[in-house]
Amino acid sequence: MQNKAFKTTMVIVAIAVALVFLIPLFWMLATSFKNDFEAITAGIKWLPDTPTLENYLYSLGGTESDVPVLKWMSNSLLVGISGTLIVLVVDTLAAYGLARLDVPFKKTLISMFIGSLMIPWVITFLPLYMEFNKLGLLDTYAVLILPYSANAFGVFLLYQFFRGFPQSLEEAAYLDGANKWQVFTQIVLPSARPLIWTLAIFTFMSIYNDFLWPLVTTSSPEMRTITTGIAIMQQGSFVSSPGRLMALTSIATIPAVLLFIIGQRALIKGVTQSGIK
Amino acid sequence: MKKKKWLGIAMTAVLAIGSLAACSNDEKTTGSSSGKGDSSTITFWAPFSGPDGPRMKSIVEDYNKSQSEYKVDFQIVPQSDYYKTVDLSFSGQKNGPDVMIMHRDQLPTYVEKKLVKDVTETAEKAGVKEENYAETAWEGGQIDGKQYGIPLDIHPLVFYYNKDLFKQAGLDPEKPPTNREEFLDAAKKLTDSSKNQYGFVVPTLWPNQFIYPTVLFQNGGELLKDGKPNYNSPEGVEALTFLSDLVKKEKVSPANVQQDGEVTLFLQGKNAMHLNGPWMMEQWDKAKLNYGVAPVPQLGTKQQAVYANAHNFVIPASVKDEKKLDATTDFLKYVAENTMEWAKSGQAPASKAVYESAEFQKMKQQPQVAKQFEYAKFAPTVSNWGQISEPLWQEVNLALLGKKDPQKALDDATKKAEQLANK
Amino acid sequence: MNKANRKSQLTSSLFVLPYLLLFTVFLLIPIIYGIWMSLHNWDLLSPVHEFVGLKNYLNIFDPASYLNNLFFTGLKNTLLFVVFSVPLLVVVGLGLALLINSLPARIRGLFRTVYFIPYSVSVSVVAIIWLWILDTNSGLINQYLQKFNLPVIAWLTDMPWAWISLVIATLWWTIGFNMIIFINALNDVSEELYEAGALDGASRWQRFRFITLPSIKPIMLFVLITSTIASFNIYGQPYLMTRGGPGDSTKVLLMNIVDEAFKQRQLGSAAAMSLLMALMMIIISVIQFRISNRKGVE
Repeated sequence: MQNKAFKTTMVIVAIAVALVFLIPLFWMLATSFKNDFEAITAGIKWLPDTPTLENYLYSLGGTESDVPVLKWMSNSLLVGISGTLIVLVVDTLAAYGLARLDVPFKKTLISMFIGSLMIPWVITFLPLYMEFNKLGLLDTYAVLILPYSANAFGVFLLYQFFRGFPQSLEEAAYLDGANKWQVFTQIVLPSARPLIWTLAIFTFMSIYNDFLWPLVTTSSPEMRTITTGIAIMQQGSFVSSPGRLMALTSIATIPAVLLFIIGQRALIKGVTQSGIK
Repeated sequence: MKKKKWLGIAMTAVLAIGSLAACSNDEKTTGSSSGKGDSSTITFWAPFSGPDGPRMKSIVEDYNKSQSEYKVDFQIVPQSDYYKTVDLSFSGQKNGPDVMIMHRDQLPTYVEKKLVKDVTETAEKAGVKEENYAETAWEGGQIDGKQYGIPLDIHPLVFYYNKDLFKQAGLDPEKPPTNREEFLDAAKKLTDSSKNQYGFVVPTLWPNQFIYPTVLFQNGGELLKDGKPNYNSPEGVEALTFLSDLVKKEKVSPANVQQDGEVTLFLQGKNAMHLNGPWMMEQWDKAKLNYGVAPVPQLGTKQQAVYANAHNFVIPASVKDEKKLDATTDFLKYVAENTMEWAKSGQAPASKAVYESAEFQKMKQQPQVAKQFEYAKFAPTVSNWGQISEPLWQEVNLALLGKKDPQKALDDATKKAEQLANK
Repeated sequence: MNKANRKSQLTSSLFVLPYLLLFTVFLLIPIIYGIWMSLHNWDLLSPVHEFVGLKNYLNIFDPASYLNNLFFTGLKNTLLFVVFSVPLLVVVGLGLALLINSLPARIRGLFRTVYFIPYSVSVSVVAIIWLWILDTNSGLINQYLQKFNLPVIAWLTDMPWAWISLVIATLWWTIGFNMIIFINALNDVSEELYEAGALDGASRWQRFRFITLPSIKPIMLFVLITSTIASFNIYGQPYLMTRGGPGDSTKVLLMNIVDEAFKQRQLGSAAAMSLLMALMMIIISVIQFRISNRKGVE
C-alpha cells in the first residue's frame, strides 16, 4: 500500500523534473519559429502567433555570407569523425601492444600514459597553440583534429579490457600460423567492438562539443565549428535577434540529440565498462 | 634552433598520419594564402564581419573592374578575432595582408613596435591629401607627427531616440535634447515605470567604452595625464556620478541592466533614448522602428565633445615589394574618391568629397554622424590602450550596477591600470 | 633465438609507435615547451623572447603586479564556482539516479534519456538558451515573476544571482552524465544486502544510509573528482553568459589566462598561470582522493 503511494509520488516527481529538462529545449524551438518582433515583444507566448520559417531560411539560405551554418556543421562532423577515427586506430593498437605484446620499456610506457591522465589539459593549451602557430597550421583542420589524439583515456580503457581477454583464443590462432597483425584484426578487435563503440561516442562528443580550443585556433569564418560559430554569432550580428539565434541553435542541436539518442545505449554500457569502478 | 627543427620533423611525421583523415581538405587550407607570388595582386584585410562587409566588398569589386593592372583580394576576418589574427601575421607565422584596416585606438601599439609603415610617401604618390579629409580623421592617422594611417571613416557615438515615445510624452519628435537639462527633462517625461518604460536605459557594459569617455571629455577631462592613468580625476568622477545617478536618483533607467539589455528594450519600444555606434542603424531599420538620430547631447558640464574611433588603412612594415606598394597606392586613391558605398552602412566616410556631397547630405543618419567630426576625440595615444583601459570598464560596470561608489570605483581602476602600465 | 626475439620486439613496437608519436608531439613536447615559455618574457609581437627565469612566477605572487590580481581573483572565482557547483553535481546526480531507480521499470529508460539529453548539446547552445530564459527584461522567468507581481531578478548582473545562473545552466547541461554513472553504480549494489536489510526491518532511509551509500563510495569519489576537474575548467558559461561580470566577479581563471595570452599578448606569464592552475588541480584531486580513502578505512 505504502509502496504504491511512494511509486506514484515518484512518477509525479519524475515528470516534474522532466519538464525542467525539456522546457528550455522547447522554448528554444518555440522562439526559433517567432519573428524577431514577436520574440522580443514582452509577454509570455509559448507558441508563436504567426509561426514563421524565416529564421531557418535565413540561417540555411546563406544569402548573407556571414552565416555558413552548413559549412560549420560539416566542419564539426568532419573534425569529430576524423578525430575519432585517429583515436580509435592508434588507441586500439597501443592498448593491445601494451597489454599483450613484447614491447620494450613496456612498464615505463604504461605508467607514463596512465600518469598523463592526471595532467590537466590547461597545461598544454598555450604551448600547443604556439606549436601549431610555428608550423603555420592554425586555422586548418589539422589543429582542430590532431591535439585530441594524445589523450590516454582510450588507451587506458582498452588496455584494461585486453588484459582481461582470454589468452587461449590468441594462442590457438598463433598455433595456426597467424601473425600478430592477423590475431589483432581478426580475433581481438571483433571482441572489443562494444567498447570501441563506447570510446568512439565519447571521443566524438568531446571533440564535437569542445569550445575553447576551436575558438582560439580558428579565425576564418569558413573554418569555424558549429559550437564556435554560434558563439561568434551570439556576440556579433545576431545580438538581439533571438529568433535567428534560436533557429541556429536548433539546427545545431537536432542532429546532436538524434545521434545521442541512438548512441545512448552504447554510451551507458561504456560507462559501466570504462573501469570507472 | 635545433629544437625547432626536430619539432618540425616530428610534426611532419605525425601530420602524415593525420592527413589520412584530413587530406581531402589540405588543398583548401593551403589555397587561402593566395596571391603570394604575384605582385600585382594585393591582399586586403578588414574586420567587417557585420553588415558593413558587403559594402566594402562591393567597393573592392568595383575597383577590380575599374582597371586591369592590379587586383585586390579582400578578406574579412571577424571583429572578435581580428587583432589576434593580425598579431599572428605580424609575428611572421601566417601570410599577412599588404594593406589592412586598423582602428585608431590600436594604432599606437603597432606603431610603437614598428610593425606598420609610415605612409607619408604612399599618400603623396596616391595624391591623397590632408585637405581632402576631415581634420580630426587625418590627425587620427598620425602618431608623433608622422602619418601611419589613411582614414576611411570616423565612428563617433550617436544619439538615437524613439519618435513614437517622444510624441506620447508630449515632446517634439523633431527636437531631440541637446544638453544635460533637456536630456534629463525628456528622460523623466519619457519614464513610466508602471509600463516598464524608461527614458534612458543605462548600459553597464559595452558600449560604455564610448559613452563614459564622451561624458568625461564633455566635462573637460582626460583619460590619461602625462601618459599615466588619470581615471579618478574630478571630471571623471562627475561623469560617472552623472551616469549612475540616472539609475539611482533620477530613476530614468532600470537597475542591473545586462549586456545588450538596453538594445533589447530600445527594440521593444521601452527605452526612449539610446546611445550607440552608427553601425546600429541597420538593426533599427530591420526592426522597422520609428527612430530619430542626432549628435550626442552635451551631457557634460564644460564643452561639446564626443568619443570616437576610426577605421584607418595601414600598410604592414614588412611589405617591401615596390609593385605591391604601387598597387596599394592605386587602390587607396580609388577608395578616397569612391566611398559613398561605405556610407550606406550608416557610417560617415572621412573624405570630404563624400561627406560634403549633396547625395550624402540627403541621407538620414550619416550627416548627423559627420556633424560630430569637428569635436570628436579618440582614445589616448598610448601603446596597449586596450589593456590599460580594461580595469576602467570593469569598475565603471560595478559603479553603474550600484555596487561601488563612483569615486572608489575610479580610484581602484586607476590603481589597477597603473600596475598594468608598470609591468 | 635472440634475433627472432629482437624482430618480434620490433614488430610489437610498431603497435605502440603511432600513439607514442602523437603522445610525444601533442602532450610531452607541449608540457616541456610550456615550462620553457613560462620562463620567458614572451611577447607575441616581439621577435625576441628574453629569458627571465622565474620572474613570471614571482610576479604572480607579488601584490604590486597586475598578474597577482589577475591570477588570484580568477582563482577565487573559479574556486567559488567549484564550491557552488560540485556538491550539487554530486548530490543532484545521485538524487536523480535514485529517482529513476524508484520508477516502474517500463518507464525508466524514457526518463533516463530525457534527463540525459541536454548533455548532448554544446556549451554555446546551453548559454544561448539560458540567456534567453534568464534575460532580465524579456526572459521567461522574469516575465512570470512580473505576471505574479513579484520583483524581477537581475539573473546575470547581480550577485549572487550570476553564480546561481551559471550553476543552474551547468547542472542542466551536465548532470545527466553523473546520473548515468550513479544509476550503474546503484544497479551493481547486491540485491542480497537489500534483502537482508529488509528482513531486519530497516527503513528506506536506513537502507540508503547503511547499504547504498557505503557500496557506491568509490563511484562517488570518481564523480567527485571528475566534477571538480570539470568545474575547474569552466570557461564557456561565464564567457558567453555573464562575460565575467558584474565587474570581474564571475571572471574565472581560465578567462584571465586567455586574456593574458591573446589580449595582452603575454604568453610567458599566461603559461606560468596555466602551470600553476594545473598544479592546483592536481593537488586538489590528490587531497580528495586521500581524504576519501582514509574515510574508507575507518
